[in-house]
Amino acid sequence: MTLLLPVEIWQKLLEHSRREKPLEACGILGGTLEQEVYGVAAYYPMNNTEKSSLSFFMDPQEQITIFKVMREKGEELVGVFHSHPHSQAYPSAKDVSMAYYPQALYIILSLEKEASPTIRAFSIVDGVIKEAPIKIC
Amino acid sequence: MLGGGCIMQVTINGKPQEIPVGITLGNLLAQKELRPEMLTVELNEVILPREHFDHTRLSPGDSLELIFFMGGGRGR
Repeated sequence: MTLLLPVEIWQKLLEHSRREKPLEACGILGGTLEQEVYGVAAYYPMNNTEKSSLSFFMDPQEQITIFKVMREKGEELVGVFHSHPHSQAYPSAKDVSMAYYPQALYIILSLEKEASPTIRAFSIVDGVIKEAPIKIC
Repeated sequence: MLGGGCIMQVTINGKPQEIPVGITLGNLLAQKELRPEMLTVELNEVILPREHFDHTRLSPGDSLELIFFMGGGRGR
């Protein structure tokens, strides 16, 4: 299981996270999934309706709109993204409890150390967390 | 609508599916083992309140979007 992340999309994730700080940023990653290689093709920044530094929740109507866009473009759901402005890039208990898409990766970007942000990707299936390596390309 | 029989065709998340004629949305979700409290349902481009699921009867040609909530966060 590997996440291929184009550098320009990595930049978008970072910029979005920094723009939203101190609140959590969130978004959807579309692309392809072939033989356990998740290829990111697009990032769709989403509105965090909770406007919180501790949690995020995407607007369902906005989510539906993006899913339809992805479907028209032939993209699959590759990842669910959010930032942790003040903590490490690792799924919290709340992240695990709301990981309803076992086929997707859950990507977290930490701005805990502003000068050296970190990004990690995880599979979360039935409560079991497994890290997936990210290749920025 | 397919001729005769007890099934009808609807679209779910962009894909055609055959479901029982006259089934309610609540029963469809139960058949698919989907918990209503985890998802949002859009029926023919209108998001349905959860309390309507059990008495909303589906019709041939209906278009459904079933999406799970996306949320989480660092928490306390």
